[in-house]
Amino acid sequence: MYKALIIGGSAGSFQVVTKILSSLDYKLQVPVFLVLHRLKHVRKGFVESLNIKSKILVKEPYDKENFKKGIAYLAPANYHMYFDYGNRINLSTEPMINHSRPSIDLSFTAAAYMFQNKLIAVILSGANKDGAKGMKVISEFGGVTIVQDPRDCQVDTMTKGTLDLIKPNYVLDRDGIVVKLKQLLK
Amino acid sequence: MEFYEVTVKDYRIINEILEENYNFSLNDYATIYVRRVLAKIINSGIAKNLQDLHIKLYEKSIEKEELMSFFWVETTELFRDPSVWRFLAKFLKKKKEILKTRIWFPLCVDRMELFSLLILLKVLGLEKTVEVIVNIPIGKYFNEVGSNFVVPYKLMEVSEGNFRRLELKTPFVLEDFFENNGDFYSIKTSFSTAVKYIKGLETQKPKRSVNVIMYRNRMLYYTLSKSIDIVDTLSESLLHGGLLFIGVNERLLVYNENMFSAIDVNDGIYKRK
Repeated sequence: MYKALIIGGSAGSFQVVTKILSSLDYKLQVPVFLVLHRLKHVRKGFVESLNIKSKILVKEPYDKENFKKGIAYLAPANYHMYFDYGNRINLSTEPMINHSRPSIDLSFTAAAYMFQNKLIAVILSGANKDGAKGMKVISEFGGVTIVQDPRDCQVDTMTKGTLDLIKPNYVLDRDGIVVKLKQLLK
Repeated sequence: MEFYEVTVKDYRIINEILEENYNFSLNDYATIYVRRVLAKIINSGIAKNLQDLHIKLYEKSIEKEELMSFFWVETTELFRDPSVWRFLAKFLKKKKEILKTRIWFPLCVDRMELFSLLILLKVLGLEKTVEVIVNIPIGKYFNEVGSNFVVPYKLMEVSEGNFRRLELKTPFVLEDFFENNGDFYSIKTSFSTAVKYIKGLETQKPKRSVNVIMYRNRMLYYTLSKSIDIVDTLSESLLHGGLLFIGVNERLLVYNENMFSAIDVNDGIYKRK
């Protein structure tokens, strides 16, 4: 039984994230964490867009909010997102990592420590290598790692960067990711 | 290494040494953040590993200020969250006719937040009618904030965009606010002369109550109970009807909400009842 699903992405990932969110069971038994690169001064509109097709509620957490199953938490613009004991989400304004805040590496690593081998991680299309190191840590903790097939990505730097570092459990196109997540989260 | 794996035993040992030798406790800080800070300390090379850090802290071979600098997180751009600064600008313009407005930064490790305010006051022509009080926790920062700190040029591109979003109808001309030092810019010294400094943490209150408290993104790193205590303390120094600014993704807890009414939760702006 898995305890969390975390998804990272950047340029070209929005449609895939929407597809995943629209396919998840509305009685999903895990929280979902979305760490997506976005314009840092645009704080409105993104959550609303994701909610249009999502079967589960998508929200931006506030600092130290308790996370719950069946809700997708989108890392707020210009904040890093961590996870702490007591099922809490912690935010941080530390400097950018890989030119990114939120940093996928940071969130993925924090999730790896928190959920260990009970974590499913997906890395999607993106234009830099943020997330690759985080996927490596998740892999080392025994979590399930899914990489979008670079041939299916609008921009493949992020997924290729990950594949350079690890041999993931699955390399799948967007439809394959949806099917696999349904199997794993059943 | 992004976070340091630390056992309960290690955590207890290091906390005991810090309390004994540095009069500083980890208990106020969120656990995940402590693990992050430990990773930063080890990555910096000050200590090879946690054991080595134990020894160095026990022997007091790390200066307190150096150690503390790992715990402070600065904002890396001017006018972060422009809508917040836009609100503050309107508030200050309304208060223009009132004799003296006092704005307090209870924990200023954050040059960019302070510089943002100083620039805003200058643009609004309020630099002589608004008193800015700033708590500086450690000497190193006192010198840097109090004098003339360099700002990497790249940051200015972001800051310029934020400034434009303030809708002040004033162009952002770097040279109006900063002096060019080759590859870097430093804020004009004349901007910071009106600032009054208090050396100490949030608990060191200003002598007189204030109209505005800027405490944005500082509670992120504390525990919930510490955050409640701090807001409680801050509220004692805020005049009734005064404004408290916290981070846009921070929230006041129910306990503190009794003392404040929300003006804009999404921008982290609250009014003292």
